[in-house]
Amino acid sequence: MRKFKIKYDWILFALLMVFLFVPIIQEWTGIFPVKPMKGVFVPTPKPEFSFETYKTNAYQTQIDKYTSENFGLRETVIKLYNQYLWDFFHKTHVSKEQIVYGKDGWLYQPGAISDYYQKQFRYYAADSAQMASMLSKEAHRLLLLQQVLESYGTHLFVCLVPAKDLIYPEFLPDDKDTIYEGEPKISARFFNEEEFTRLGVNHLNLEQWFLRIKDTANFALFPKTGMHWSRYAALQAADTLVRYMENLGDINMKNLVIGPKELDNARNPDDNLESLLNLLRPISKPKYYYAEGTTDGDPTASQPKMIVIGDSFWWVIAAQIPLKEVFSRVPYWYYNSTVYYDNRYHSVDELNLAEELVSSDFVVLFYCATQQYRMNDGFTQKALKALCVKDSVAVMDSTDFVEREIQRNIGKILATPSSMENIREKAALNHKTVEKAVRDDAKWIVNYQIQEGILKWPSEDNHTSMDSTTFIELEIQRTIKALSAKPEAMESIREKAAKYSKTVEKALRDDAHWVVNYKIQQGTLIWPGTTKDINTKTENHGIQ
Amino acid sequence: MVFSSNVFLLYFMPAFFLVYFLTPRKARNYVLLLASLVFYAWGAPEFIIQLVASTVANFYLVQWMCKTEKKGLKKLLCGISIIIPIGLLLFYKYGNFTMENLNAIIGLTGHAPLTWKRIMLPIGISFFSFQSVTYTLDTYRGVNKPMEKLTDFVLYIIMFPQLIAGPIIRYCDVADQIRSRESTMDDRLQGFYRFVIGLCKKILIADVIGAQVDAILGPANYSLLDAGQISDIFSRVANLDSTTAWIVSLAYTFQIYFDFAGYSDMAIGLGRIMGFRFPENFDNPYTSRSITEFWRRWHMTLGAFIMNYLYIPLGGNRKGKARMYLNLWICFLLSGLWHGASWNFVVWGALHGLLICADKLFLGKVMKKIGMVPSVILTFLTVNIIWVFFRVEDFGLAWMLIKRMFAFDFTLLPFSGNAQLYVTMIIAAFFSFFTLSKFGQKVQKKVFFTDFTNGQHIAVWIIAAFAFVFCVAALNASNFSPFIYFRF
Repeated sequence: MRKFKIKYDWILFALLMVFLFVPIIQEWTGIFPVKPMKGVFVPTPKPEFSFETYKTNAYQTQIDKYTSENFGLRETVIKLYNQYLWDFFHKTHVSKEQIVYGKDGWLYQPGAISDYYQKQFRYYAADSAQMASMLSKEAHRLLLLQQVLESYGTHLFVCLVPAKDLIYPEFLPDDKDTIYEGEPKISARFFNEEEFTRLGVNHLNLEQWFLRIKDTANFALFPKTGMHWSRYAALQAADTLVRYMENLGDINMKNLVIGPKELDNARNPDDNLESLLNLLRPISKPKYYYAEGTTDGDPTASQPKMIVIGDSFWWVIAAQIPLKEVFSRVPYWYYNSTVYYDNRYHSVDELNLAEELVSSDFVVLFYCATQQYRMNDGFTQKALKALCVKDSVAVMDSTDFVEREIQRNIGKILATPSSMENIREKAALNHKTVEKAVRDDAKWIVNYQIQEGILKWPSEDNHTSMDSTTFIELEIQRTIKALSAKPEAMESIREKAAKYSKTVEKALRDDAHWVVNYKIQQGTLIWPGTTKDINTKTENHGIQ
Repeated sequence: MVFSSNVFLLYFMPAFFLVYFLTPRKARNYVLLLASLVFYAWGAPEFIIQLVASTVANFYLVQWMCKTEKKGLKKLLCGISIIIPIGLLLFYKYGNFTMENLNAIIGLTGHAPLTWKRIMLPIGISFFSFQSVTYTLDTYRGVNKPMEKLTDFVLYIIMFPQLIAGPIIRYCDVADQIRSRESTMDDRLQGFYRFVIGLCKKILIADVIGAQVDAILGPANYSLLDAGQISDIFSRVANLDSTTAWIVSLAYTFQIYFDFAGYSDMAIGLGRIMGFRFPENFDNPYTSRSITEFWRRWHMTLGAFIMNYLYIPLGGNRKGKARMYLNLWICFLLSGLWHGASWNFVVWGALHGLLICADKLFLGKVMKKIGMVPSVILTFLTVNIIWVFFRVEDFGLAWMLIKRMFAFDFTLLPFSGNAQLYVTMIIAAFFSFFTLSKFGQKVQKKVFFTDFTNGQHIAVWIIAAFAFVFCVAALNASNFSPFIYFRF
């Protein structure tokens, strides 16, 4: 009996030694197939040994970090522990900045939740008044940029991308600490909608559209365990986007054709928040609709060039529609930093911003509601600077200025009996107090003056002193665009190109160059900083 | 290197045991010595030379001490042999503390403070300096003969399982085992099970609870924080309701026990795999019915060291009651200081010293009279409150936390969001008081001190292997928090 026991001991001890070596064996051989971890993280490079790094313990620390990322079966054991945390405590080690666990297995980004409770502004501003001022300034900058770009034939617009929290608030968690009790609050999504409408900033509010169709749509607008809109909803949004662009640019683009719906398990990125949890088994298995996005192939349709500046919601559209068919080029400036879909650049810092903007047909700011506090990542300010337009909005407080103007107009109205008579009638008609009606009227006048460019903002001049090279280059680009739009001009240029053995592009540029030189010689091209503006559209818009 | 690290668990330990058991029995001590040097050199590269040099010097001093017939020289050599490790301990552990206090005094006189380069504390110095002292004194007293081989002595001092956090092993307890020991298969398996029990205590209980304690009280050492961060901690504590304040203090009470006891279990387990029988360091201290009993069950090897090498040399109870109380108090004051070079540790030790004296005077009798359950609860709560001074370096903050505990503005905290902490604390409490019942004592005896049958071995092996994997998982999962996309 004893002998039998000893044998068992030996076997168990031998097994123990093998067991302890399993991670090393796996690391060296990869003998067991293991699914990689999902999500992105910065891997620790293998540290180089040196006596100095060893002496300061830096080498040991790095080795510990490196081994913790590379030991055999790491993926499996981490998933095992994550599953335990999820099953027993409904949590994982994924940073709270990445995921919030909602009801019934719904997952959200914390940014979305704090935005729903209108407290996200606290990460960007000291209080709601400061946030309002910042958003207002940005809206004014957008209007200014929109008008300047308009003069180059480039349409700027903002796409207000929906966030999951507003579309599906019923699954948000009940934790009291997620609800902001303090007052006053501000939400960029509502503020921007109101401000853009008031100022006349081009915008497409997809969030409101989503809210309208939520109850009738027979597909999920947002997936249960994903961060972005569902792939099918994104296809629908893309179709709406194209229609909006057609209206804005008065052009005919290729129509998107959404193929037949197919019900399937979640495909990436419809479960991207769940995949971040790195669990052994899925939380649930909801099915979503998927379809293929194609175009009608209309050969007469325009293929505009569009620059997209925004967050990751664009990926979902970009992955599903044939971008190359719809657009001639559609570079994507991710958070106004990294450049995608444009082989020439990796970063926006590398490109000539002015040239890129004026050579485009559309520029869209494509940020989700939760990201609208980011002030477009500084794009508008950079663009105004690149286009040599003085960003006078930056040096003034629009809220104070507008309020001052409203008060001035209230004074004027009160001092005019005929106006007061009119307002009393309006107040009675609309069931308002006279004070409220006076203020509303004063506000309406100020808004009108802003939109019409009658109201001059407290700034001195519209343009910074521009170096001549930049100015001429911009004019050349503007002329190229103008010539390209004229078929007869292009016909002539093609002939010249053939005659002088040039490419059409070179001939077009040469012609544009000639036109600009001619204007300079004739004195018809007005330089910035002089009494006349470089274009008629910007000289009266008032908001500089 | 610490036991609860990937480098140790996944690389060092398997590689060491493979080489150790493949090596002929006679050469195993050399393998262990080499591994111990690597283990220590990994964590304290700048101190390894001094550690080895002082150990070698001590070895020859003690050899000389034993050979000489001259009593005066014997005493002198004994003194030098004690001064070397204690001097290193004083310099490295209390150098900064001394300078800070000296500068505080100088500051009061209006003079410019002295400048000095801060000294880094080498890991394990508190333990190996005490072990060195036990060797010298035990040999001087004739309890044991000196080691014949230098390598055996160096091994005794820096043997990696107990080098970092004990148990403090008296030379007389381990000398024979270093020379010759038997490691049965049962020892190896039971040693592994014990190691895993310790690892679970550390990673699955102490670390989980500790993270929540840190979230409120900040890190243990405030010297690395700036004024803003310290101010945040103060305002956090000032705004605690009594429920949270008690949870924080109780959480730390469990954290320190499971952390320290876990490490001791791992050390004892690793030793047992190699055939060593290290002394137990904890015996369910929170089941104590008095502070005196608590100290018989908490960090038992330190208690034994203080008793044998401080309390008794100070006169113990042989010089009258007043002197006994003074001796006891001095012992605990120094014990507090040994735990850390900061006044809060001194206060912690002094409070325990006072309560031990009170026990001897009257409290012990009161505790016996009130029955087991009330006395255990009272002792536990007292220990819990005193732990606040151990955890919180700043007196103002410690006092603030205690005031919040007794502000009696209790609130009902939500379970969701804190479920893991509460469940872990319940598990910690269960295992802390488990042995109050006879059933618990039986289970403990069976798990720790009885040989297993084949069936039991198989079952426990599977559980231990799973627990080991789970601990590695917990250790690594907490560090992995990926992003969906990189942002800017």
